[in-house]
Amino acid sequence: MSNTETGIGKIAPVRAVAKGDGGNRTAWMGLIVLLALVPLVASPFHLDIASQIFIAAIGALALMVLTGIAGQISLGHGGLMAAGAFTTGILYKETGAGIWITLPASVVAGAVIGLIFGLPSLRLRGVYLAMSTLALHFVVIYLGGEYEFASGASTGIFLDPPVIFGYELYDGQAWYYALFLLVAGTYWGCSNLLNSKTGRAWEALHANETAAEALGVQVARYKLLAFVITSGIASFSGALFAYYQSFVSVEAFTLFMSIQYIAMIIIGGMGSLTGALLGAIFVTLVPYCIEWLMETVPYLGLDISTASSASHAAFGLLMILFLVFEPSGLIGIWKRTVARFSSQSKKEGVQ
Amino acid sequence: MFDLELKDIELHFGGLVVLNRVSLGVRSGELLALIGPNGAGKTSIFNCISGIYRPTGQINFLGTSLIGKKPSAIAELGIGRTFQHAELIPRMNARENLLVARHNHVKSTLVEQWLRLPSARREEADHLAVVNDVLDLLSLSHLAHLPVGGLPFGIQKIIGFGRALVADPKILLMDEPSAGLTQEEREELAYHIDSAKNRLGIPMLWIEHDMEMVSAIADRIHVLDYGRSIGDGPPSEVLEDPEVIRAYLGTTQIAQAVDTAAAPLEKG
Ligand SMILES: Nc1ncnc2c1ncn2[C@@H]1O[C@H](COP(=O)(O)OP(=O)(O)O)[C@@H](O)[C@H]1O
Ligand SMILES: [Mg+2]
Repeated sequence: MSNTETGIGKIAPVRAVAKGDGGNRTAWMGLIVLLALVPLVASPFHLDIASQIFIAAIGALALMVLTGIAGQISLGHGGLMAAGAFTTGILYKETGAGIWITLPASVVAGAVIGLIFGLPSLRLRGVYLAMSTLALHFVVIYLGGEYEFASGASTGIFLDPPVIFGYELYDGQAWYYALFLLVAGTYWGCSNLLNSKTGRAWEALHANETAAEALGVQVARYKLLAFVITSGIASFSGALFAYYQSFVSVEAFTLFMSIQYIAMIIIGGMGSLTGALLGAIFVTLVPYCIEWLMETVPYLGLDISTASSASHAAFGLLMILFLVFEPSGLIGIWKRTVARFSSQSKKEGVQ
Repeated sequence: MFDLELKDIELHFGGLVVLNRVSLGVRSGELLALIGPNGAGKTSIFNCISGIYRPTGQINFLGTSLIGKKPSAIAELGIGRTFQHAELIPRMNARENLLVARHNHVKSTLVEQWLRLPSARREEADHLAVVNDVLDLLSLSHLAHLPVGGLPFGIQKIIGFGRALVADPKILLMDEPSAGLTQEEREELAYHIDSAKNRLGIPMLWIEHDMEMVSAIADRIHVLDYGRSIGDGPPSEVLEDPEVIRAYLGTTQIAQAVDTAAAPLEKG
């Protein structure tokens, strides 16, 4: 933390704020139209990958707000997604509740858990905070496992496709559109928050808590708010994950999942919502790329049994490479590329 | 009557006595310069007023005791301040940094902000207008879109001054606002401080090392040395006081003398 007391200022990395929204509207509209047309040509396999990316993107947006904007490190993201998945799974199994009950319930459950596990952030920082959020992961997984055991559903909970306005969400195209809208909505909501009092308070406490307080920001309140909101969203994406897989089981929510989400926001570019989306795409694609490598380059010596450890290793390597060589992430690369092209075209225009 | 009054303020860090029975007051519309050598406890006084440090004694602002209040609650009472090291949010631009200081004036609820409802948008536009006015006033508009972390320290200090102004403070605390500024920027800052005082009519407490600026615009000077008050009065009197000269002005003169003596050696 920087030190207002002693007057020793913190040397913070200089980086442009890139909170989405910015840039040009036409490009965004074009992208949205393009994405809306994808299902007309994509295979079921590709639609499945796209849907996985969308679910990951919602979770990554939440973590980006918590860590990339408000500066609160969390290793509990997988646990929160598990909480949402189990809330939905258990509610459905026990009461047969529909999506209009299970999804809000999952959001509320996530928000409450976020509030509880946000409390240590009032005392702890950095690695210590990360360790305390890790506890969240194990508590949720333990409770989920207990439920599976007690209810005799030791293999997990099965879910039927959700029904929206009498329409059963079943095929890949319908899922694609539904998730696409939800990602767009989450992005829009997060972007609005970041461009308001709340988001600026998060940025302020991230930069320097003492200075933020002296400017009138109630640091404790806004930290907890960050945990509550982002945990609600993470839990929501866990519930979607459960419906999408039609199945909930503790096995799906490993610690590695939390690390994948951290990889998304680092690789995508800390502090940028668009970066969270890029990170979600990238990280979701890595295992597929490794699989593809395995098939096309057989003499690499990779097989099914080594594929998963290969993708684990690849994540570790990628995170380190990005941290060392490209701390501003994919969004940083993207911006530089755009800047280079636009300056080039300007030069050409002059000549 | 003082708007802000400190009485018998004592502050210790372990065995170190940082403030030793300091008492001072500022009237509305008055610019009080707080001077003293480095380590005298000037910044600590600001941190006591802000609620960042917990001293013993009394601090009253417009009839309210500030002792025991949280810093954010104290800021909400209308106490604006600048920091010795600017303490801006480096990756935000100047406009956003100033918007942060409107925090307590924003009325829209979380849901209104989240859904960007017309009410929230209108309010945001109003705050933006206030911010843009201050940026204009300080001739910062052309820099307002750049991340402040990449700007020169002097500019960051002026943005910090703007951030304190934009909060519509009822009192302004400025911690060495001129440190790191060029001569030209200093003259401009002196003008802005003076005109803000006349325009707003609020009390101002100003930590400053530039005695030329101080004697030009300060209404009164309070001198601190090793956590003790050693002088208080109009600039003409205080700057002539032998004890003040020995404690403070003397040291800078000696430092200057050493500098000039050392200069030829370095060249040779
Ligand atoms: N948080 C702190 N912990 C320990 N000592 C401090 C702290 N803040 C200030 N001090 C000490 O108090 C004295 C006065 O510091 P300060 O108020 O920053 O002086 P000034 O602003 O007049 O240069 C210094 O000796 C400094 O080291
Ligand atoms: Mg100081």
